[in-house]
Amino acid sequence: MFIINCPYCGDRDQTEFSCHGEAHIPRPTETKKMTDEEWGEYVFFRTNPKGYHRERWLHDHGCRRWFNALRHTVTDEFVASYKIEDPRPPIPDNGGQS
Amino acid sequence: MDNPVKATPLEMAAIDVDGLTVAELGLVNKINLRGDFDSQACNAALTELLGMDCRLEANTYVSNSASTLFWLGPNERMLYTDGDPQSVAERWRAAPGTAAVDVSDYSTVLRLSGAKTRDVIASGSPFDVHPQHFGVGQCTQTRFGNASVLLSNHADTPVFQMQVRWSFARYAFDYIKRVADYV
Repeated sequence: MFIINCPYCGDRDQTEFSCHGEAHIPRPTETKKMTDEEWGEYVFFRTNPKGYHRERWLHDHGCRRWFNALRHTVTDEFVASYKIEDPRPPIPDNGGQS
Repeated sequence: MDNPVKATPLEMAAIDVDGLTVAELGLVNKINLRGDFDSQACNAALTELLGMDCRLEANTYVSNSASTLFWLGPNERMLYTDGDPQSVAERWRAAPGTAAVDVSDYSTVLRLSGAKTRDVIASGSPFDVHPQHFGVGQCTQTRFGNASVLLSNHADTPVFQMQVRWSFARYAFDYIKRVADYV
C-alpha cells in the first residue's frame, strides 16, 4: 500500500488510481505519411526502463483527472506528480537508491 | 412526453441501529456543471445563478437553503438544487464556455449519522475521515468498497452524505448494513 499525490486532490491511497503507461508520447501529426513501421513504433513500443519512469495516471475514484507522475519502476518510489501542462520535474541523480 | 416515473434505487430504505442511522434522501436534483471556474465570468454567472459565493477550494462544498455546490475537479462541480433542474441547467449553459448535464437519476444520496458513522465509512474507504482531516464543509470523491462515492461532511455530530451511483446503491447500502453490526 502506498500513497500517491494527486496534483488536484492531494495525498490519496493507491487504490483510487490507475496507471496508463508511459507519458509524453506525442500523437503523430502527419499520419498519412507514416509507414507501418512508424505506426508500430508509436502504438506499441515503449521505453520500459528499469528505473525512473514518467507515467500517465488517472485518479479514477477521485477527481477523475489525468496527471503525470515520475515513479521508480523497481522501488515504486513516487518522486513527483505533476499536471499535464506543468514542466517535467527532473529525474533524481541518485541511481534510484533514495 | 409523459412524466417519467420518479423512483430511487433503494426505495427509501433505511438503517437504524445503535450508533448509526442511514436514510436515502429521495429525489435530489443533481446537475453536473462544467466551466472554467477560475474565470471571473464563470464565477459571476454562478454567483448570480445560486445566490451565494461559489468560489471553492479543492474538495469543499458550499450550500444555502436551495442549493449545494460540490467541488468535483478544477473544471467540474456537482450541484444539488431545489429548483427545476432543466431551467437551472439552461441558465448555466448561457454563460460562456460552460456545459450542464442533469444527472439526477444517475446516482442516489445516502445520509449517515450517529456515533459510528466515521467507523462505518472507514471500514470501506481508504480516505481518512478523521475530524482533523475531513471537517464540516469538506467533500471528496473516493472509494467505498468497490463503489466510487462522493462523500461530504455536514455536521460534527457527525452527519455525512454519500452520493453513490444508482447501480452501486444497493451494494453500498448492504455494505453499510453489514459493517454497522461490528464496527
